[in-house]
Amino acid sequence: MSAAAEERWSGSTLDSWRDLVLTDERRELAETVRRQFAGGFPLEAVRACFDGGSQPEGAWTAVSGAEYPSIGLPESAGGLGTLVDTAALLEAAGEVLVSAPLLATVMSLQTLARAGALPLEPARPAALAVADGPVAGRLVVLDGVLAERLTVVVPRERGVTVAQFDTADLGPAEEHRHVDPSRPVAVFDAGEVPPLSHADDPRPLDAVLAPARTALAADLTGTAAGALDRAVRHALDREQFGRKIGAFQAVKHRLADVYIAVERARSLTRAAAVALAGPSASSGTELSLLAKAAASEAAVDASRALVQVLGAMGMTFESDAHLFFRRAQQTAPFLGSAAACYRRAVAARRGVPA
Amino acid sequence: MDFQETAEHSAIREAVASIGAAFGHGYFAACAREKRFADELWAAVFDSGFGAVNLPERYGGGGGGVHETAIVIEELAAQGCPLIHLIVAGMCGPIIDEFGTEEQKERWLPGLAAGTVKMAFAITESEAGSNAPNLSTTARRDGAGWVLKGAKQYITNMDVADAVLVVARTGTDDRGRGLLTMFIVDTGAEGLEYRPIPMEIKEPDQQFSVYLDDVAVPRERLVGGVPDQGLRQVFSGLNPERVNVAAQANGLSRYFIGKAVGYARERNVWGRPIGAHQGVAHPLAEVKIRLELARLMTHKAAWLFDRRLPEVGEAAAVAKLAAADTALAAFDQAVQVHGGNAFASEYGIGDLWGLTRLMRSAPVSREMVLNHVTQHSLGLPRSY
Ligand SMILES: Cc1cc2nc3c(=O)[nH]c(=O)nc-3n(C[C@H](O)[C@H](O)[C@H](O)COP(=O)(O)OP(=O)(O)OC[C@H]3O[C@@H](n4cnc5c(N)ncnc54)[C@H](O)[C@@H]3O)c2cc1C
Repeated sequence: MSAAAEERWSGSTLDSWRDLVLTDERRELAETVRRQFAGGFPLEAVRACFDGGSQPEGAWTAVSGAEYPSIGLPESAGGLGTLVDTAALLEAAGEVLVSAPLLATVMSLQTLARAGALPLEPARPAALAVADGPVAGRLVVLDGVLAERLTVVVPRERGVTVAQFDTADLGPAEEHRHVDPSRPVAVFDAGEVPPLSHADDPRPLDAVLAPARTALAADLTGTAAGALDRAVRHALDREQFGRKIGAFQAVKHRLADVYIAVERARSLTRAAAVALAGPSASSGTELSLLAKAAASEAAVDASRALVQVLGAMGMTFESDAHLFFRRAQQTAPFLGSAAACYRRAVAARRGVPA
Repeated sequence: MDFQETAEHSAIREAVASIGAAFGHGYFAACAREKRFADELWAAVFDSGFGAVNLPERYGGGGGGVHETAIVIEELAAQGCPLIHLIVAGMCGPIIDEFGTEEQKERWLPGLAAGTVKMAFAITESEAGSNAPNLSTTARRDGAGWVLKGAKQYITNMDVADAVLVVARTGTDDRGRGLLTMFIVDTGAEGLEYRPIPMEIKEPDQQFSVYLDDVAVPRERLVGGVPDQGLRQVFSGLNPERVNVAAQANGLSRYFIGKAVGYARERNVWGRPIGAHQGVAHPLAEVKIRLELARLMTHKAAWLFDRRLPEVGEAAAVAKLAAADTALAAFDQAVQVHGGNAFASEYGIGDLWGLTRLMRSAPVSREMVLNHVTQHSLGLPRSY
């Protein structure tokens, strides 16, 4: 390794590689959360979104009642824990495809907190959008249908402005029918509307978005892990030719490849969260981009594998495969495709504009 | 449509396969190590009448076309004997037959058909590879004859060739493009020198740099007798060259798959043959499928060429790309299946990497085939 490369890698990436291994306490929290989500948010609720065309309101009440959106916020805003806990929470929620705007609210709050555009109102469902020009005009918002608050990141010549809107001021959102009705897309127009609050942040766009991208990566990692888990269970259950189909290498090697993709996404996501939560957050931006890219790939690949392993059943409405496939396809492109995130990660590493 | 091979073609296949098997890859590899042409194999192929199946019978050839040549080349490669010179020969003879004067045909074709005369083909230069017509070797008139000046590179088998077909520039057309002319130049001509290029291709056929320093070439050595016809002549040789390279790649795929399958049946690691593991078997099945697709396309291209149908351009390019990619995949899987043994010379796999890999780059690269398809098959704008 060259001296320069060594300097880049030693110590600065994470404060401690040990942070990547969850403490017993964190592991326990993650387990509790996972159990709670698995029990409290059955996939039938996701399915119900197809009938109503949107999310049931009850799901948000459950999510906000448990104060999940406060996890990882500053104590001054009533928060507790760090972004590492947020990531564990969202991964567990992603595994069961929670059909409430939890991810969107967390991304919104994390971005406001990052830029200091207060107040933070974790009890209100919210969503995040990135304007593609200097004005917050027409905004396509993932999981924005129930949002009461909309956080918009507007790129400036130097740094960004983060503005918070009351969606009641924006006029009714256009609702779009999308492949994943459990996370519906809304279109808002924030062109002429005064924000509730706003703050300028001199850091580059990707640095300001780093916590939100990490949250998104955690959600997608969860979706990937959930799909893999179902695929493995089916492979252990289904028999053909007198044995479990998981005994066939064509099946098990495919699943092993997905497992590697999930672990890669999980490790990068955790590394990004640890870096951003720590005192020297310099590498957090790069890691958040890599995590988002890896998690997008893992979610799409795992849900494809699930469809394939289920055979003809994977093509039915009754099977859960399409729920994972839809979730992965619709969420993965948000905040930049995998290819775009890899490109931006290189720019972040080299300290040049993306 | 008929996919059954004729009895005559099957007979050629069998006979050539048995010649190849009698020599085997061990012989081929030994010639490569000793850096000598595979004279014995060459003679055996020609003495049995398979060396020039594509040349007219009245010159001693087989009276067939590219289809027959491709069969011969594929079968030898499938036995581990992928001779490059068969591809060069598959190009030179037909060019003289199609464009040469009566006198040139009488002078050269009988020897080429018997295998006693060899001819190299020289178009590539340091600044003219994929863009071959952009060459700078010149031929200028000198009295009744011509004088050639320039340099060529990667010319196969100059050391064993009696003559070389040299493509030279004889002028410029009104759009500024070079007018090309082909000459039959003796390899021993005064002013002509060649030097071997050390290659990572373990082959009995060696590659050379060729220097033409005011080489005098008599008038009767100008192919067809009329200058500035070279581009058309070169183009007529490209399609059979692509089909023959595809056939050689297909033969190599068969060789690699055969080796891998044999090993996968025999080798026991956990109490049963490794071929019983899907992780080993499925990739082999995949290359087998790709091989069958590539062979179909190669047959189609040969069939189109022999009927002088214009669709051959696309078919030959597609066959070449598909066959070359498949051969490399088959090579890779044969290496994987053989574990550490793949790297021991006696297993006859590793030494074929250079030639197999070459097929993606020459005589026409993968990218140039994709250019052809984007432009001519899909009608997209020219990109270069
Ligand atoms: C073993 C061997 C034997 C050979 N035998 C002979 C022979 O007997 N006679 C003879 O005349 N020649 C011979 N050649 C030369 C061979 O035909 C050339 O190497 C081949 O045509 C490629 O040309 P190049 O090497 O100059 O590559 P270049 O033309 O320099 O190409 C280099 C790379 O750039 C890419 N590229 C170029 N143009 C484009 C474009 N427009 N779009 C996209 N990509 C592009 C190519 O695909 C390739 O990847 C031989 C070569 C070898 C290695």
